[in-house]
Amino acid sequence: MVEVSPHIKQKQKHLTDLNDNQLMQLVKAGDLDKMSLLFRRHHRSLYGFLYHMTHDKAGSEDMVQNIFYRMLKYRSSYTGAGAFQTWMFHIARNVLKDHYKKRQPVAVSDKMDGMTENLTDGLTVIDQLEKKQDQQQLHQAMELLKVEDREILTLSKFQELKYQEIAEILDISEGTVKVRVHRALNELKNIYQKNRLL
Amino acid sequence: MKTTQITIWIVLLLAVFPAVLRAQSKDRDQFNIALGNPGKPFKLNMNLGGGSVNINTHEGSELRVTAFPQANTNANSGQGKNQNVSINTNTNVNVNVNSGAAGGNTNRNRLLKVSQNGNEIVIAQLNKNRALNVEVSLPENVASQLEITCADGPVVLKNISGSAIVTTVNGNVTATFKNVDAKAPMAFSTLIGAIDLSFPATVKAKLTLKSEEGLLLSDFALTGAVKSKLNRNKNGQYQSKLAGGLSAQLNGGGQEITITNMQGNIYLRKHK
Amino acid sequence: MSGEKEKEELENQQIWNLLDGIKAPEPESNMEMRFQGMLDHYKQAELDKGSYWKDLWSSMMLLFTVRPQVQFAYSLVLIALSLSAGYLLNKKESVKTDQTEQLSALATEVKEMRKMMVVSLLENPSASERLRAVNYTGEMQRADQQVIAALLTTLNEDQNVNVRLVTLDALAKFSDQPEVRAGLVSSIARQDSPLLQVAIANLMLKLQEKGSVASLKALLKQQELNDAVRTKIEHTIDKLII
Repeated sequence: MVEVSPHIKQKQKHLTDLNDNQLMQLVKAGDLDKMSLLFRRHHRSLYGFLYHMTHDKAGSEDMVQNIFYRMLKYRSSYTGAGAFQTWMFHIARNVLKDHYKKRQPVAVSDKMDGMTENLTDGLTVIDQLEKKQDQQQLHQAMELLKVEDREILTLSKFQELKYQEIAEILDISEGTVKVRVHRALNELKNIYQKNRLL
Repeated sequence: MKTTQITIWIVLLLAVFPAVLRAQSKDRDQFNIALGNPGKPFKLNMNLGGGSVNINTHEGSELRVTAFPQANTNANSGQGKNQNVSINTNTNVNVNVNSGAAGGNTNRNRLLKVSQNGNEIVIAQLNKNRALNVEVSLPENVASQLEITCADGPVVLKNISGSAIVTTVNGNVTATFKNVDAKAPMAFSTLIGAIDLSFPATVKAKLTLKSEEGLLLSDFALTGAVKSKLNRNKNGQYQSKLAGGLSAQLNGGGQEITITNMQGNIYLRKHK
Repeated sequence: MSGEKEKEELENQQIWNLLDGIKAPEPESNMEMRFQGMLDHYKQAELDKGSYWKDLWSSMMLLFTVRPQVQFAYSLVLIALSLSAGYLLNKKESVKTDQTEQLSALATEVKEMRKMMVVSLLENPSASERLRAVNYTGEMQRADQQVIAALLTTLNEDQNVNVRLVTLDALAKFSDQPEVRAGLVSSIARQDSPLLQVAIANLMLKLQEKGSVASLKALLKQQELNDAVRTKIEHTIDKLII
């Protein structure tokens, strides 16, 4: 029904060769089906980011759908000047903000719902139990972090984004990113250690 | 060059607006709807207030719709009262096609609003409080999935190929099926009124019947839980009193058909 | 001084490594299907621009519906599952317990698939598909939380009277489950269709659910209540109070 406008029609190589920016440009031009490919590529990592920020599995799944819906709806605002990922995270952070506004204060969770843990690393049973406890406390400590700290830790640790990429997403300098990551990690450590002593 | 320009405009306009061409008329709304894919299965969803609904078929490929207000109509919510339905006058469905004019719709005489997406059509009343008689002529022998919701008044479906889900409050539900979509579930319900259904003799279905007060009259030899209650009456029909829920199999069973009324008979006829 | 700093660095590193253990759980496997459903609706809404129902379609988008093609996928899975079941049964020299374990695992898989299909089909924009979804629950012996929640939502919010009627029947089958009963009673206040008001009153009577009397009485207060319905509900209350 809607055709790719001729001035964007590139030599279309195999779909998997197209990078995110090219795919999004196609979506912007009207080829909405290409969004499925972007979904396939990114929904897992997006979900991971949202989960680490909220510890809400179902809410994160819903937010992923919402974010892709918004990317479709506001596709005309995509410029391709920055990376696709930057734009995607920009929208994700907005959706997160809305989520926080709506959500009632949630009690700090004391169970990690369905999370995989690296338990059997040649550890004895006691070591495994201890490690599990440690991780639980760390999980809780994450929740007690300020949103900005949790976010920057999530982006660097769990999303494994480079400082340069994080800088683009947060719209700050690379140097500032380094400093903030360091500060956030310190904060986390302090909270974690404080709780262990209780 | 000029004619080409006009043609381009017409093509553009027709492409942009749904393919609804309306006739202008004093107190009735009359128009055709062309299917996005004529001859292919389509869905018709109707959401109406009180009045009456009459759906039949014709040889053309488009849908022809007529709506006119019921006599004695006013802010009629149709709640709690038994509707006196006025007889439908047979009208010649001759539609004035607006060609060339810029899609000329004067909004004033519209009784219905239509939305269309390819072969999916949704028709609703603009003012739910008016009692309207609505007639729709469907293309014959084209598979259709009908969803008819009325707040009040009888619903009649004639010569349908496909499936239907129909509900009204006061009024009979009558439907004759020329062909049945074997895979589609169906449901018919009314509060006070008879439900009168005709199917091809070979139809296979799993029936759930519910009536508090009424008779079941069937041309088909039903099997299942209802069997023990069936008697043969002098017309050769199978008959049973209804006082609650019953399940039955038609020709061994198949797609689920749910039939519900509070007061009224239920008729299951073989469509010749 | 530098020793302090080194210690801090080491601790930070430890925390960083410990974070490795906190992985996010897997999202549900229906994520792509939900997305596809949303995309389909969005595309339709785009084509539908300019009509009165644009808003209706746009809001349906957010229901993240699933196309009926999921049924096809479902039957494919069933075929695959029954084929594997057949293969397992034919394997010689297999330990009996191993077999039954695998078979019950398969049975659970099938139940999960059916449940998933019901829950997602219940949000389909076509009443025919939603009807189909409710009819499927007839094959379940017991309805779990998710299915009950989905059925109750359908009972309270579905736009089609027939779908709601059939849902009421479906829930009635599971009325021995207490959360179902509670859900049914709270549904009374939300029903404005005369057919449903009658049907739910009948069900309460059949279940002898005296807890419903208050809600039924509240219904009587509505002025617009259909006369026939009013009579029926008064009758029902009388019989329940005895």
